[in-house]
Amino acid sequence: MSVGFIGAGQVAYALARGFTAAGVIAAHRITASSPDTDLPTVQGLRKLGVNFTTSNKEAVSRCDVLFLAVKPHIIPFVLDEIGSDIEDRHLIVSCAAGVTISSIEKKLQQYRAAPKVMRCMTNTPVVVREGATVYATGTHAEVEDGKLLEQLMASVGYCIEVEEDQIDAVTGLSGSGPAYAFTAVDALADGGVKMGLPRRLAVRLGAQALLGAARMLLDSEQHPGQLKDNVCSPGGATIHALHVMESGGFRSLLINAVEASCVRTRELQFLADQEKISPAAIKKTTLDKVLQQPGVTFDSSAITSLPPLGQLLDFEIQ
Amino acid sequence: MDPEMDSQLKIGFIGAGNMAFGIAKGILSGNVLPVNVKVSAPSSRNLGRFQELGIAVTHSNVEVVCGSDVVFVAVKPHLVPLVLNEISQHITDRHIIVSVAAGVTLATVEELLPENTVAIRLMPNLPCMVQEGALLFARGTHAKQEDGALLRSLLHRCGLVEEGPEAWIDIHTGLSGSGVAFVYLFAEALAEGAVKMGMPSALAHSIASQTVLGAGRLLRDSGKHPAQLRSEVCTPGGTTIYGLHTLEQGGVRAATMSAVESATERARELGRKSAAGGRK
Repeated sequence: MSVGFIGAGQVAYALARGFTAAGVIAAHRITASSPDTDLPTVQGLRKLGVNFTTSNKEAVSRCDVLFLAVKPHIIPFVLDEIGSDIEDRHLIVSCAAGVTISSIEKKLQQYRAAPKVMRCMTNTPVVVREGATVYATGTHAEVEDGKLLEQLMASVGYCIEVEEDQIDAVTGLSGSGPAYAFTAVDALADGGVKMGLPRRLAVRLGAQALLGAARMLLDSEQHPGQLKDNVCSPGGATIHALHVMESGGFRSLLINAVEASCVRTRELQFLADQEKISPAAIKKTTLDKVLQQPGVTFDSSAITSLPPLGQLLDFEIQ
Repeated sequence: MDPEMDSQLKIGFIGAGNMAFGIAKGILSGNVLPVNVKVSAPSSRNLGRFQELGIAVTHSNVEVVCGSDVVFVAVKPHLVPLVLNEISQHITDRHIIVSVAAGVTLATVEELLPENTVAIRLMPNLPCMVQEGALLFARGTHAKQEDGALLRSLLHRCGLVEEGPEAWIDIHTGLSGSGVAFVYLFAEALAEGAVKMGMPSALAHSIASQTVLGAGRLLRDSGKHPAQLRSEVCTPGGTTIYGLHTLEQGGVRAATMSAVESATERARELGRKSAAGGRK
């Protein structure tokens, strides 16, 4: 079995690294493609022994399981480019936030009657084999395809099948989750530094505290509220700190964050469905390179709100 | 715990207010006979409901003390020194004096009574009146474990009875004494929310109170952590989680923690004042 990645960014790198570390597939059986060879992750992929190419078509031809690991708004262009190269054996797995299975199937059905499509939402800790992945199965994907994907993803963390309509919520929670955790640890470390600890030690201890707590929770049958109680001795330091957190609206902040991420995911889905790209969402160099690929056409109706390409500023991709 | 012992015990109440009444009712649900209970109060105003229970009434505190083994001092805090001074010379080593007065420390009580008096400080709460109280007691210097056990067995029909160090009594006051009022506030707000959404007030209040009662029953009887029960009510994307989010945004948890803190601090302050001889 061979695996291909369209896209050589964070997701492709994290999955490739996780898969190879887990030994579930050899690096030379993985191919990643991207028009942009300057990405730092391209270096990383090469170092792993993964085959790197600037040709998406080559990645398709060299694999059986094809991960679409590009930004959501690039997906339509990619599908147009590779649609005619998809064979019966291919299992297409989209990792793009907000992009529906039906939108992918619709595109591919221009080239093939029954494309096997799955959609997954994973997260970056797959790189250390502690990922959280959910997947939904498309119309023409078989049970074995689900099992295959699950086998791959379970090697790099937790993996479970869900209904597609739950995936946006998963994005908000565990897709974005690591970012919340990084922010939390950074801030906890600030607290440690303020109270006199050296920075490196503070970061280490903060991260370990989160890791340990998560491990306890995953290994326990108890509700997190109960585990919290177990840590709070009466009148002690922890309960005082928790009160401070509650006063700051800590819980509602986290609820808001998950909601915001989920809502934004749905917005992105909407944008992708329209195949309309907001100027702010495009990095000029990437779009230029994408448009240079053979087979990609620039549907002028799709980008009505853009000024001429030469005038596009260099915005960060969201 | 010892039915035979209970039925011989003579119980007295100095003070005929709500706390005394609630405790008396609870005691009578056990093995204590009404004929062995006596209550005193300066006026006859509150004595009727005791009489209806078959309890003997009097205006004489001394009479209550002399005729009782366990005496509940259930008068307003500022009256406690007066009452204790009055009855002090009638206290013997068979007596157990249980002070129910908020903010009056064991030290104060023991100071006013003969040396070696067995004294216990008890903090009940309002729902004692319907036998669903939360009661915490702390034993004084000469009160032994058996005295605590006796009190516990007398009170167990009043609700939840627990023992603790005296330091916990102020916390209990904040949590459960005042806590009852916090729950009333919450119930009122629930009802008002419903009224805002179009339900008639009387119905909204009736449902709100049953909701609080039902939730309370489930919480107590299930033995589950409230966080667990809360999770069980929240279906994904459902009404409850939306409502809870709004509550969290309102900082209800922090406010509630602070409320218990404020009430506890105030109880401590009052305790210090009364120990210093000041009035409430």
